[in-house]
Amino acid sequence: MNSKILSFTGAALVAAALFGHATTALAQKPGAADKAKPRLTKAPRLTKFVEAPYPESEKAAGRAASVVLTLSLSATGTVEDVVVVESAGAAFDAAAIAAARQFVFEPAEIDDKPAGVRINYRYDFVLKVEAKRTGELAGGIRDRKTGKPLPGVTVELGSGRKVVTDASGAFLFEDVPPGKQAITLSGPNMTTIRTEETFEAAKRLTAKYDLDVKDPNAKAADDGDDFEVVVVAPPLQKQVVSTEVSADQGKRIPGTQGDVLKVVESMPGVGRSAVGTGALVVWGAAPQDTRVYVDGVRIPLLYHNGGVRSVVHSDLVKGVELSPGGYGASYGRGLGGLVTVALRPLDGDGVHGSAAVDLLDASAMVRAPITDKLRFAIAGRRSHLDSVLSRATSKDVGDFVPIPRYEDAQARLSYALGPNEALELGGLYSRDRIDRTVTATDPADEKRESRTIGFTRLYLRYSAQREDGSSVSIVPSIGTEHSRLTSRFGPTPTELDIDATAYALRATYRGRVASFLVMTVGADTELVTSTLRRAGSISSPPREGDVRVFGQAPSDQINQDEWTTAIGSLAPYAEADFALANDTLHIVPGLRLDPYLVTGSRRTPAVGDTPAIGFTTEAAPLEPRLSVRWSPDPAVTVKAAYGVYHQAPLAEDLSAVYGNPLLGLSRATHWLLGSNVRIGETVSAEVTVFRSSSTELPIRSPSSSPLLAQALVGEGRGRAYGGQVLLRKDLTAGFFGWVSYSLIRSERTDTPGGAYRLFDYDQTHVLTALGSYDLGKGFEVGVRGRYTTGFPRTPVVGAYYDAKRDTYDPLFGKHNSIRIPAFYQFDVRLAKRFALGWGELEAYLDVQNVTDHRNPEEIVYSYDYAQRRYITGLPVLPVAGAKLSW
Amino acid sequence: MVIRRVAVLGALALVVLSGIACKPELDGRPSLVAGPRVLAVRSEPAEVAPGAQVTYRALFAGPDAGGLSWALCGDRKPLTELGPVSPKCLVPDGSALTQLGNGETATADIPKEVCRSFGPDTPAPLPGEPAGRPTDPDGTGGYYQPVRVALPDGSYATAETRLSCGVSGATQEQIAELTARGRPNTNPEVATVTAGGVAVAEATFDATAGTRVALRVAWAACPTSPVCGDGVCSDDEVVASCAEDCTEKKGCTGAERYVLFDPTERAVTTRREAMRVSWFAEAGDWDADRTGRDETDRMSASDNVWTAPAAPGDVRLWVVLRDDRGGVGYRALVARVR
Repeated sequence: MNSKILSFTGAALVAAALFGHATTALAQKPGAADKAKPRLTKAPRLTKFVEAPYPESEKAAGRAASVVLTLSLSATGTVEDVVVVESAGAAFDAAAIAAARQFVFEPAEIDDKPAGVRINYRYDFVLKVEAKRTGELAGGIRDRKTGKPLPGVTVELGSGRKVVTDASGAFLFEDVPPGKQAITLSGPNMTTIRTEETFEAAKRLTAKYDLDVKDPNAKAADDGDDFEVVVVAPPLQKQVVSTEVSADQGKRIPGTQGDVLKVVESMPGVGRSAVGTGALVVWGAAPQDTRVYVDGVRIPLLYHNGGVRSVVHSDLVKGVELSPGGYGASYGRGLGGLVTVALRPLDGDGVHGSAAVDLLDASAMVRAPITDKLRFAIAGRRSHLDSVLSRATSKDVGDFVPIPRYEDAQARLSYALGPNEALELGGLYSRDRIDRTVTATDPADEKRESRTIGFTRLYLRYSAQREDGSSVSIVPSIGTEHSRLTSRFGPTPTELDIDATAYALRATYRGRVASFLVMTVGADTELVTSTLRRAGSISSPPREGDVRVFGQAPSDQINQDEWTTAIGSLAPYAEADFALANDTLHIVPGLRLDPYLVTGSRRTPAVGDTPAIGFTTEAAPLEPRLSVRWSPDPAVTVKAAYGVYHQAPLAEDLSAVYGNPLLGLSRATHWLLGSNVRIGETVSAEVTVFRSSSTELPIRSPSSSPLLAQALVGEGRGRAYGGQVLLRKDLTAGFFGWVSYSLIRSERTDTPGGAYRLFDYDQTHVLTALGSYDLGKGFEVGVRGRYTTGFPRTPVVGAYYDAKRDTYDPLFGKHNSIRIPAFYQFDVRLAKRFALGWGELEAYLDVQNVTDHRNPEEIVYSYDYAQRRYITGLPVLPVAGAKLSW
Repeated sequence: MVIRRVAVLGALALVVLSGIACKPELDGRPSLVAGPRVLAVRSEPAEVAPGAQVTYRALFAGPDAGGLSWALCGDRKPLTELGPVSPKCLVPDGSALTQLGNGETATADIPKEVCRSFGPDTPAPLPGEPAGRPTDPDGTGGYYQPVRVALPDGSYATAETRLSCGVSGATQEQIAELTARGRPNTNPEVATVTAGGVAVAEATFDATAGTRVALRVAWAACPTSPVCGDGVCSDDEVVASCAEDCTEKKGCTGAERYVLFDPTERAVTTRREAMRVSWFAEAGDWDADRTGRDETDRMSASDNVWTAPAAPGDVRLWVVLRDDRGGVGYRALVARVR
C-alpha cells in the first residue's frame, strides 16, 4: 500500500493542546510575530507502519481507494486520535483507522522540544496484482547479413497465436502458458523457420532471431539453402525423454506436503516406493541405479528415511527433471534413471525468506543480497516428531515404533562476475537416524535396529553464458558420505559402517559451432574413497533377489571384514546436436569414454596376522548414445534414443567376505521410442515405449560351496520393458495436472543362464492422476490418485521345525510368483494463502488416503507359516502445516 | 480376523513414519501343542569331534515316536539360504542324506571331514578351481552338523550338533589359546520346576481349572570364575592346576562360561551362555511362549505363568531348556486340572 503523510497544515501543532492557539500557525507566513509563536523544528517521522487488512468485500469487487485521515500525535509519537477527512466507504475507513491507531512516530519537535501535532495522512488501498501464471515472449528479428530489423515477419506460436513484427522488427506475446512452445517464423522472401522455446510463469523470455533473407534477385538454385535461424543462445538441452516439473507446481501436489522434490514419486515411469523406504524405482531399475544430481553435484539420496521429505529445501529449488532412461552422454555411471534438481538462481531483489512447520518438521530459508553482486541463501530443516511424541506419549515410544529423525541444511553464496557470469560456493548437508527395538520375554527374540545415514557436499560452480550463446560450467565438489547400520536380530548381529569421501569435477562447454550444430563437450570426473566395516550374517542386510519373508531372521552364521576401496573414473564426453530439415529434425549422437579404476585393500578374507593383499581392476568402456527428435509438425515430436551405460560395483560389494573384490562393471543398454503431441496451447500427450537390458549384475553366489572371496558373482542379468503414457495440462486458469500410466515388466536372473523371474521392485501397472486448482481468494485444492500393482513375493508352501532355535522356517515356492494385492490411494490437499502485505502465510491440510483404504503393504505369516495375512498401510492421514514467506 | 491397530497416542504421524498402520492378529501359538510335534532334539554329547559318535534323542509330543525317521544332512546350505539346512536335505531321500533309522533316538557317526563341509576348514577344491569358502561360525564361534527328522505326517524337523572344529582366520597365538582354554559344550539340564512356588515332584502338579499357575524352571548356577574343586573344569583350569576338576573334564549343566573366537571382533574372548526356555502345553495358555536369560543375566531360573484350561483333566506340559551353543535339556510334566 502506498500511503503517506500529506501535510502538517492542519497540524495545528501543539496548538490547541499546548498553547491554546488557533490551529493555523504553520500556514502563516513568517513574520515578526514568528518569534513569539511556536515553530516546528522537526517533523514527525513514521517509524512503525501497520498495514491495514484489505476489506474482503472490496477486494472481491476489485475496488481500490484512498482514505485521508487526520492523526493526532502525542509528544511521545503515539497516535491519540484518528479522524476521517476524506472517506472511501465504511469498510475502507474502518480498516484505515484501525491500522493508523497502531502507527508509531518519531515525535515532532516544536522549538526543539518533543510536542504533540496533528497531521493529515492518506492511506491508499491498492489491489495487489497476483503473481502472473503466464510468461511473455519479447523478441526481435534481424537480417543476419545487414543487421537491419525485419518488419512484417509472422511469428506464430505452436498454439496458433500469431503476431507480425513491427517496423523495428520487434514482436511481443503476452500470456504465454508455461512450458515448451514451438515458434514458427515466416514471411516474404524467407523460408519458414521453426524453433522451440521454454516459457516460465511470470517471466519474460527475450529472444533475438537473425535470419538470412532471400535476395529476390538471387538464382532459384539458392532457394532454401541459405535460410537459417540463429538463436543467440541455443535452447536449453533436455533429455530426449524426461518429465520436468517446476517448483511452483511441485509444491502444490497432494501428498508432497509442499515438498517440491517429492513430486518425482508421481512422475511417469516411477514405481511406488516400498513402504517406508523412499527408494526410487525408475523404469524397473534398482534404486541404487538411479543417479541424483543437484545442479551438477551428485548426491547419494534424494529423500530422508522413509521418503517423508527430500534433502533439499523447496524454496531453493527451481525445478526437477526425471529422465527414466536413454539420457545423453553428459551423464553416466548409473544403469537406471537420472534425476536432476535445478536450484533457483539467487536474485538480488531484496531479503526473502520462509519459515514452515508441520507435524513432521520445521524449516526455514533466508536469501538476500549482500552487495549488488554478492548474494547468499541459507536453509535448514529439522524433524521434531520424536520430541513431539516424547512429550505426548511415553518417553520410549521411539523404541517401539521407528520414528525418523532427520535434518538437512543448504548454504549458497553467489558472486556475479559479470552480467552472465557467476561463481557460486555452496554446501549441502543431510543426516538421518532411525532406531527401533522390539522387545520380547526371551532376549533371543529381541530385535534392535539403528540406522544413521548422512552426507555433505561442498561445491564451487563457475557458470558463464557468452555473447555468442555458448555456455561454460565448471563444478568441482567434495563431500562425505556416512552410513551406519547396527542391528541385532536375536543373537545375530549386523554392522555395516561406511565412511566415504567423494571428489568430483564436472566441466561442460556448450556452444553453436555451425548454424545447424550445437556441440556439448565436457568431462565428468568422480573419485570415491571408502572405509568400510561389516560384521554379521552375510544375509543381513538382505539383497534384491533374496528369497525370504518379511520379518524372517537372517542366518545366524556370522563373519567380519574391514576394507577400503577407491573407485575413480574420468569420463570425457561429447555430444553433437545436428539441427536439420529446418530445425525439425535433431540428431544427437554422443560418446562417453568412462575409464574406471577400482582399488581395494583386501583381495581375500583376513587370516590371522597375514598382511592383506590389495587389488586393482580397470575398465575403459565406451558408451555410445544417440537420440533423435523429429517434429514433422510444430505440435508433434517423434523421438528415439539409444544408450549404453555402465556402473561400478558398490564399495560394500567389494568385501572379500561378503562380496567379491573383483566384481566388474555392470552394463545396461537402453532403447526407447516415443512421441509427443501438443493439443492446443496447454495440453500435451506423450507416449514412450522402452526396453533396457543389463548384464554382469552382482548377485549372490548360488553355489553351496562358493569360492573364496566370491560370495557375490557378476553374473546376473536383468531386463525391463514396457511403455508409459503421459497426458499433461500446463498451468492455465489456475489449473494444472497430469495423468500418467506406465506398463513395465522388470525381471532378473539369479543364476548364470538361469530363467528370468520378476524383479523384487516390479510394478507392472502404475497409474497416477493428479491436479491442482486455484479456487481464487487464496484457496487452492489438489487431488492425487494412484494405483500400482503390488510387489512380487515368493510364496511359502510349507514349513519345517528348527529344533535348535525353536522356530519354524519356511519352504518356498516359485521365486516371486505371487504379489501383494494392488495398491490404490487418493490424496487431497487444501491450502489457503493469506496476503500479509509484507509477505504471505499459507496454511494447508494434506490428507493422504482420504478413502481410508487399507492397502496391503506386506505379507506376514503365523509362527508355523500355516496362515498368511497382510500388514496394511496408512489409514486416512491428515497432515496440517503452515508456511510463512516474505 | 481381528485387526489390532498399532496406535500409540492415536498419533497418525507414527503411522506415516513407520509406514505400517495395522498388523493382523494371527491365530495359533507355538506353545500350544495341538498335534504330534517334535519339541526338541538333544545331541548326546552336546559337542562332538569329527569322526565321533553322537546320539540324537527327540522330545516328541505324539502317540508314537517310532515313526520318526532320522537322516544326517551332508550338503552345506548355499549363502542365499536363511534357514539352517540345505533345501536338498528337506526331501525324503537323496544323495545329501545319510539315513540313520527310525525311532525316538538315532545314532550317527560324524564324518571325519565334517570341518570342511560345515566348519572352518577350507573345502576341498574342485579340479582346476581355487579354494572354496569355509563356513561362517555362529555368534558363539560354533559350527554344526545338521540332522533331519521326518515326522509320520511327512513334515520335517531339523537339529544341529555342535562340532569341535577349531576356528578360521585366527592367529597362531589365538589358536593356541583356544586349544588350551576351550571346553566342549555340555547339555543343560532342568534342575527343578516349581509350580505356584512348590517344587514339582514326580513331574506332576495340581491346578484349578481356569486359574493361573506360576511356574519356574531352574538350572545349575555355573561358576563365574575358575575355582578348583567346584566340579567344573572351566576355561582357566587344566589337569596340572586342578586335577580334581579336569582329570575328566566336567562341564556345567547351567549357563556355562566359555572361551570363543569372536568372529565379529576377531579376538579370543570369554562369554557366558544365554539360556532360553520354551514352554509347551496341550491345553491352557502360557503368558509367554518363550522366556530366557541373556549372557549378562546371572539368574539361573526363568518364570512363566500357565492358565489352566476350564475343563478338568490331565494336561501334558513340557519345558525345554536351550543354551545358545546348541545344548538342550527338557522336562515333561503333567498338570492335574480340577
